[in-house]
Amino acid sequence: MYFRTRIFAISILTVTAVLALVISLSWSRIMTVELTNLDSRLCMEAKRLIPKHTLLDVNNSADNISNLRDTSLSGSRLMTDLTDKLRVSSPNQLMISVGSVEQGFITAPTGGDVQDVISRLHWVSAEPLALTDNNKANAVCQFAFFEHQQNQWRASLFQASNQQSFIAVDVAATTSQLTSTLQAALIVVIPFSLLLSILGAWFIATNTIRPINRLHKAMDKVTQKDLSHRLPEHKEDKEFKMLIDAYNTMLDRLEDSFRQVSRFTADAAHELKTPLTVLRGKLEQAVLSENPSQLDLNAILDEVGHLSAMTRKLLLLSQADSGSMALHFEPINITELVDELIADMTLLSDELELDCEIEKDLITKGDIVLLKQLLNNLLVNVMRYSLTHKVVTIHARQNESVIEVVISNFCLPILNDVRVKLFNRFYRGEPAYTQGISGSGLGLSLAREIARAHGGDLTLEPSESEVVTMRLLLPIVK
Amino acid sequence: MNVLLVEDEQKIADFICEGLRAKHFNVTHCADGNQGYQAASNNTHDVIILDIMLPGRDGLDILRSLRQQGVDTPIILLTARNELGDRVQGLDMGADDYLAKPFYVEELHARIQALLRRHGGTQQHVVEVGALQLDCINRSINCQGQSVELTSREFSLLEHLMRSPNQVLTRGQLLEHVWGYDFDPCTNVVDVCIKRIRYKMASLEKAGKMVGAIESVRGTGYRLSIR
Repeated sequence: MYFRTRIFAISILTVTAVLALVISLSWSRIMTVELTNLDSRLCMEAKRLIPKHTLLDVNNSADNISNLRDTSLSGSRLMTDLTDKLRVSSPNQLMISVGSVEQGFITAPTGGDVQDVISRLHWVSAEPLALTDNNKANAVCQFAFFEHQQNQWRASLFQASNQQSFIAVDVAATTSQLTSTLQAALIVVIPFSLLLSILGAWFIATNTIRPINRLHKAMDKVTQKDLSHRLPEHKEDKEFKMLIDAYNTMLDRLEDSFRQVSRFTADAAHELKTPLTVLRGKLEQAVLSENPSQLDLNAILDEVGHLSAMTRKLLLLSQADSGSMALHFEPINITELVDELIADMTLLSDELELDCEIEKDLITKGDIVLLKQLLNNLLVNVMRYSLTHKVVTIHARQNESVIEVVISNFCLPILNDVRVKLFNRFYRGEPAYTQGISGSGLGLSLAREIARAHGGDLTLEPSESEVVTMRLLLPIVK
Repeated sequence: MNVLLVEDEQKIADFICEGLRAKHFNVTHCADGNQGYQAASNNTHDVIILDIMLPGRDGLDILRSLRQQGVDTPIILLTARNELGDRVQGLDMGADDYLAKPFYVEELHARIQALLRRHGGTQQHVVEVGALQLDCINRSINCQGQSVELTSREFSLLEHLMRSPNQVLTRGQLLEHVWGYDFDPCTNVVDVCIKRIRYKMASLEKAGKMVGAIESVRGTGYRLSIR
């Protein structure tokens, strides 16, 4: 389903619904007004059926009725006049009767049993009618609907003193002219409005989709070229500006990580070159000499060990970057690991002065292989850079819900701008410090990634320039 | 000892077979997953060495099926470096141990031995070489009633030497087995540790006991020879 089609359909449906609502509301309103007009006309005509003098002279009413019967009602002139005034086509669509309240109605010859009709009607009383003479304020008009020969009729009963007249008309007949006029108008208006609404909907849909198409083309161009291009923002509406902003931000981040990956790969390749070169040289020497000594082979083996350690570190780092460092969790006694670490330190250096405070039974859940690697990396750093005859402090304790291992050693003064780079990959400090000290520059960053993967962290604590203090935090899991 | 090796890379398979046959193991080799699974289901092997990346059927899949069938032969997974995540899955699925490539056959051998000891149910608490006894519970060496305690590193190192008596083990092998393969290979930690073990053994010897001595093999490593 296309977005454009959906917008088009929604617009057409909306416009059509509005159109139908307007037409039906106006139709019913016109009809209501028409019926009100009809009522007042009926009332007028009913009043006119009663001769004026009878309204004035109550006593002569009987004469007047007979008079009426003789002349007006029987005369076709009256009927013609009424059909004209009430806009009906034949006298069959009218009923009239005149009479006095005492004597009942005198039925006019307009077909149908008028007496019977009148007797069955439920009148809706109306306001007292102010007559022109002003002295007959109690004249009233009453109205009613009734069914007669499957047609809807409207009746009006006029009563003044002792006179009454009744007049009824076929509603459909009297409004037929109006209905046909309206229908004729609608037959023209409806298709025209529909056409307009289709055009409008198409316009709306096209207008909505245009900026999206523009964006789409621009995005295509950007990805075809390279990640350094950004979408232009000018001449776009606010919402699309926001979208473009988001897209550009995403591109920024992508480009950043892309750069990071390329740099990382380049660095890694460069770092791997060194042991490979050494390895190649040594192997060539071994091949050239008649029978290579164990010493040569051993050196080669060491170099291979280097390579293995390096590739392993690189792999763990790339896993950490992609958030897929796999951990096999089991309960681990950090106290034992730190004790082992301290034992190794004493093995590695006779002159090492240690100040240790290790709390018993610090238990966490973690991956034994990776945690050992982490502690190893810390140990290696201490052994490489710590000054001889200076104390190395190792404290491990429980601090609320975390295990805190703080390792601190003295070293050559480190400037602050070097400190901030210590966790950078392949960063090995100033050449002055690292003179004659081997290392890949991956240890600390990997150690930190491992700590973070365990829900902890590894940080460099602020200290004097000749002290390095590392703080390792791991969650306590009993 | 019957060992089943399921490994598709011919070079690696060759050096494993060679190394293990030298240790008098009876090695059967399958180069693809389906064959390997067939052979493993027969349940006639003492230990299975299973590579993860295999043609036909991958190692983890074979492992899962075997464990579901109730085959409880000890299984060692071989993982390439880029399959470190798989080792976690493998251990969760019921593998007994794993080894990351590249590795020393010596290390594989040590792992197999350890597995067989564990799996045989008869936990061997004492390793004996000549008059020298290594107590695995107290982490001490005994010789005719006298004993000296060892640190955990000293103990692992001596145990490794005693499990392969009269055989030269390189520093690299020892380092990997005791300290793990991520330990900085540039250290002299193995030499220092050996020195300490020798010192402790000498304290037993002073009492006039005849014990095996750890010999240095110049430029290579160490060997525990039985006098």
